[in-house]
Amino acid sequence: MTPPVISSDVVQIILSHLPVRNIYALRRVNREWYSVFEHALMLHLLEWQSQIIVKPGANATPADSIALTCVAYDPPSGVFTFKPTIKSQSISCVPKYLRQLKILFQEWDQELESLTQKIRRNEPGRSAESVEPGSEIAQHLSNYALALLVERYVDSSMKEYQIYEKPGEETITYLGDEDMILKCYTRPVEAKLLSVNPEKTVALEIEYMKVRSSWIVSGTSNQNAAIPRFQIYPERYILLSELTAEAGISDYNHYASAVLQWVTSDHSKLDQETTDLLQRLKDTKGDFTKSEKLAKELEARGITRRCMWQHGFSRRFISGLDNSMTFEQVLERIVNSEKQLENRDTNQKPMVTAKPPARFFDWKFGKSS
Amino acid sequence: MSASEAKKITLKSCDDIEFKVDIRVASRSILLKNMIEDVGETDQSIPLPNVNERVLKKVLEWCEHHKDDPQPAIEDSDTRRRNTEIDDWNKKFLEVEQDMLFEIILAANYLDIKQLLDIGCKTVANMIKGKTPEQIRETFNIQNDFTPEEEEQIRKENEWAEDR
Repeated sequence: MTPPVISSDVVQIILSHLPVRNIYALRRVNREWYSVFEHALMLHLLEWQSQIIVKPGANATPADSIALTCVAYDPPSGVFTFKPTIKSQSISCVPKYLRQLKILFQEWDQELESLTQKIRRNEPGRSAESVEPGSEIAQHLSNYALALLVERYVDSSMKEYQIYEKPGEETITYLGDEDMILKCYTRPVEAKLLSVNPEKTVALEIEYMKVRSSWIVSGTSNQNAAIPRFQIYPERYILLSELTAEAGISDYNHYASAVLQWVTSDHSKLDQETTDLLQRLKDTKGDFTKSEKLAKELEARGITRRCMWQHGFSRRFISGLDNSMTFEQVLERIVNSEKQLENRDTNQKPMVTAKPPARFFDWKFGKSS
Repeated sequence: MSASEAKKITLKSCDDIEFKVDIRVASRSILLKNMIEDVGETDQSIPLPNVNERVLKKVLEWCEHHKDDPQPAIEDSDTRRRNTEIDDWNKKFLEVEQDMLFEIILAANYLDIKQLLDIGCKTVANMIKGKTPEQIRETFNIQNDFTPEEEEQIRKENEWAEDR
């Protein structure tokens, strides 16, 4: 008897009950599963109500963060739109934390737990039950899972975005990456709120965040070549590259606020807005921010940009929390630490690799039996 | 026509078997509910060209058991959220041959019975969890229709996401 043929809409519903990474991985089953991947992802987001959390500062509490829910998916562009779960929510921030903005997707945390479980199960001779919680082995397994997680989501879990408010004024800021754009506003905090907490002088409101599926599935580790990225609004970037080339601009910051604003708009060649943008890119030599300048210099030296988020000193430098080091000093320190890492014996390299070493326990603890 | 008789309708499976069912039971299916509302009371049997006797019997068993459940509200996402648990009755109900499970899902999709469709799909999702694409193809008899080049490309893109 031939088994019943499952229709596309049923495949989507089945897939939507799985975690996002599984939905992505199962594109490989056949053409149909491949083609419904993003639709299944949308159903999944609606069903699970997973949120994006925007946190000013790593230690921001949920009350000091903004949660966003998926509200739309546009198949032709592959863009998922998230909006604040609480409509027009505005939070008061200490200005320095706006330079340490973290943007995280809730399900990435759940990945850590499932990775830990998986590693326990896969280790020969060890079932999940035989690893005592809190034991040294459990701790190492959990560290290993964390290393895997960082490998997959490093830029998103450690990366910090910067918003610069203007005292007494409303500002509009666009933040972004290859597969993500966020639009937000800053305003002076109302007097009555200021009296409650005088340090929190800036109100932050998010209008939307637009992402491609690659961001949801794997975060923004856009320098990890093993993880494919889906460019957001590619045709806009192609047009802008043509226009900048014509204007004699050799290189520009793809994620500058003004660039992202233009990319999300309908402005075309003859607009005043386009002329203004090109002039701005010319005047500012590409409108590079501190972090994008650093990324560019690192990449010119064959070092991935993710390295600048792995060191506390460079994160503090980028956020402006610590101004004791110059740009060149920060650059040199990252380059040196990468060189040291390379020269080290491979056995001592930190456990950051996408694949578990074949004999993890032997390698980590010495032969166990 | 007595009141109790008025509440029944007749459904006909694709293999021409008739089922006389309570309207309340049939109304678990949005397709049938709308049909009954449109045509009103009728002595004519409603043909279901996509569902055979075996499957229809099973689906009606589910509808009978759930006939008094409140219809799920549209904005009911919170209660369903991340709920991969299936209650015991439904679990037992879906302990059937794999082909039958798919037939039930397809019938639930056709008849528009959201809750049954959902638990059926969840059951399949639980079967899929932890399986490789190869194992899934084999389990569900799915043809791999990628060219070797395409598959190689996707394999590369997928490497980080597939746990072995």
